Amino acid sequence: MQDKPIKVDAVTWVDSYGDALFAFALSRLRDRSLAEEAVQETFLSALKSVDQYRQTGSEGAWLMGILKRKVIDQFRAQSKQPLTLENDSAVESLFDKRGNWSKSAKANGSMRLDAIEQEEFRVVFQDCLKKLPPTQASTFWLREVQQESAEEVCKVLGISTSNLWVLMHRARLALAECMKTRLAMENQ
Amino acid sequence: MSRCKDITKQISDLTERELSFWQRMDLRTHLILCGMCRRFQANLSTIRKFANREMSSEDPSEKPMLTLEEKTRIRDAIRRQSY
Repeated sequence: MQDKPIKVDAVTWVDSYGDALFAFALSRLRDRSLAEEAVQETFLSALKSVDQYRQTGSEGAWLMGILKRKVIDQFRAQSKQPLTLENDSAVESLFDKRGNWSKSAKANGSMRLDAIEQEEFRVVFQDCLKKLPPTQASTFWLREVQQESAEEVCKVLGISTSNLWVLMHRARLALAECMKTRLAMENQ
Repeated sequence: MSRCKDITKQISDLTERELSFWQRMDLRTHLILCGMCRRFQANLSTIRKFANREMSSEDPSEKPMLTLEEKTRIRDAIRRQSY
C-alpha cells in the first residue's frame, strides 16, 4: 500500500497545457515572470485538489478555471490598497481648480497623435502604460487592447461599473498626455 | 458651460454607456467652443484605433510560449510538491 498515491502525472501537464495557460496569463498580466508564477501556482493548486477533481470535464478546462482565479488573485495583490478614486495627481495636474484645462496641459495641447506609426505607437504606448497606477493600466489594457467586455473587466479586477468608467477616464487622460509629451520631445 | 474635466469624462464614457439627451447636447456645444477638448477626443480615438490594432496584428503563429527554462522551473516546483 502506498501512503500517497499519485493519480495523475502532474509533470506532464507542463507540456500538455503549459503554453496555452501561459498565453492566457500573459495576455492578462502583461509580465512574463508574473505569468510564469501564475501557471506554476495553477499546477500546484491543481495537484492539491486533484482528489476533488472527478474528471467530469476536460483536464485543460479544469486547469484554466484554476488559472483564472490565480489571475484575479494577482490583480487584487497588485492594487495593494483598496481602490481609491480620489486625488490622482497626474490627472489633477491637467486641470485647474475650476475644472478647466490647466496651463501646463495647454502647453502641448495642440500635439496630435494621429501622425504616428504603429511601431512608434507600440513603444510609446507601452512606456506610458507602465507609468500609470497598476489598476488603471490593467483596466485600460483589458478593456481597450484585449477588448474584454466591461462585465469581464469588472469581474477580473473586482470593481464596479462606475469605477470602471472613472478608471478608463483617468487612464485615457494620463495616456494621452504622456504620449503627447513623449512625441513632442522626440520631434524636437 | 460645463467644465473641461467633466466633458472629458463624458467623452471617455461614450465607449462605455449611452449619454443622456442633455449630456449629448452639452457635449456637442462644448466641443464646438473648446479646441482642447476636441483635440482630446481626436487623440482618444487615435489611441483607441492603435490599441485595437495591437491585438489584431498579433500573429497567431507567434503565440507566446513558455521557454524551456521556464518549463523546467515549473516541473521542478511540481516535483518538489508531489514527492
